[in-house]
Amino acid sequence: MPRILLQAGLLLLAALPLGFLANALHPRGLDPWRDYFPATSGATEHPLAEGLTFLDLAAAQDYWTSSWDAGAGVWNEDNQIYFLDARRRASFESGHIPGAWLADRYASEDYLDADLIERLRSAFAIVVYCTGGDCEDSIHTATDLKYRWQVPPEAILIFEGGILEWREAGLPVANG
Amino acid sequence: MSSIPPTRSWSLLVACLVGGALMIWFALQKLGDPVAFLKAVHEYRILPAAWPRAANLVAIWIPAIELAGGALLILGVGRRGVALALAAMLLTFTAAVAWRGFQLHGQLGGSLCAVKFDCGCGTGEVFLCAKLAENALLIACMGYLAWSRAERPWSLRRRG
Repeated sequence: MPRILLQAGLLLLAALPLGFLANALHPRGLDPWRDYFPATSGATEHPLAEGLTFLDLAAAQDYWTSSWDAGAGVWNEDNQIYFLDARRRASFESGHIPGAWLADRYASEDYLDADLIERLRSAFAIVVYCTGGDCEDSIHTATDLKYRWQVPPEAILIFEGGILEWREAGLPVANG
Repeated sequence: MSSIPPTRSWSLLVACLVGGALMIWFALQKLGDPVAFLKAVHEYRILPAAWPRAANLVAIWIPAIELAGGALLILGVGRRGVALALAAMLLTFTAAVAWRGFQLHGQLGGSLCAVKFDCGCGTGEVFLCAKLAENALLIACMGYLAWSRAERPWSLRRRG
């Protein structure tokens, strides 16, 4: 084999374990065996999102106002309604729907502890959102809830407009 | 009978240092945020649907190739083969970037060169034409490094 091809092949081969090592050492490294895009991996769009409900802004706002105590600035869990923010921590911290839980869809296991998952399984409604526009993280988090955490799909609601539509409507946003 | 020593080329050294540094820079941007790169890879939607974890492998492997390749170019080790591998990779990326750019242009309309998106190249949002021009220069640089049989000064290896 020509020397030049051997060198090229060696680089490609050596880079593979190097990549896995760098990924393993990274605090937000990927899980190599996880299918991060189950709903869009097939030929049809979002087949796993079937059975989930999509909300518009007015409906999402209704759920939110029913549980957000604006006076005290706290979330009231009596209604068993939850808002999950499927974006990453940095985006969440720069502005999220008040009362929402961070549920970064690439590391949901870090944020959805056993106690919260139990509460989600018996929730009346779980509104999941991300940025809005062409953002798909809310759909992936919703399918994670359904298939990975066995949350009843009838409780899972996807707010497609996301934080962009929420902000544009002049609704409150919390930081941090 | 003594053999003729290979010529030494300073332009090779410059190409190695500039090309290598750029590859390392691109790699560090991707390694710093693996999730962002994974999402960018997914956005191209050109990997086989039958193997959904291919995007994970690409997102893990590509930055390592760029990092190791860039370092080897700077050190002058295995220069021709490394440059060939990087040129092949860049050609593939450039075709993918062009494909994605044309898709977006079809959706958005307007001028082709005004199409702007995050190509996952480690440089954030870029204009299509500028990115294609940048990649063409890099491919030419890697092609030169792979093609030339001259030696560069300050190399860890005499032959490459």
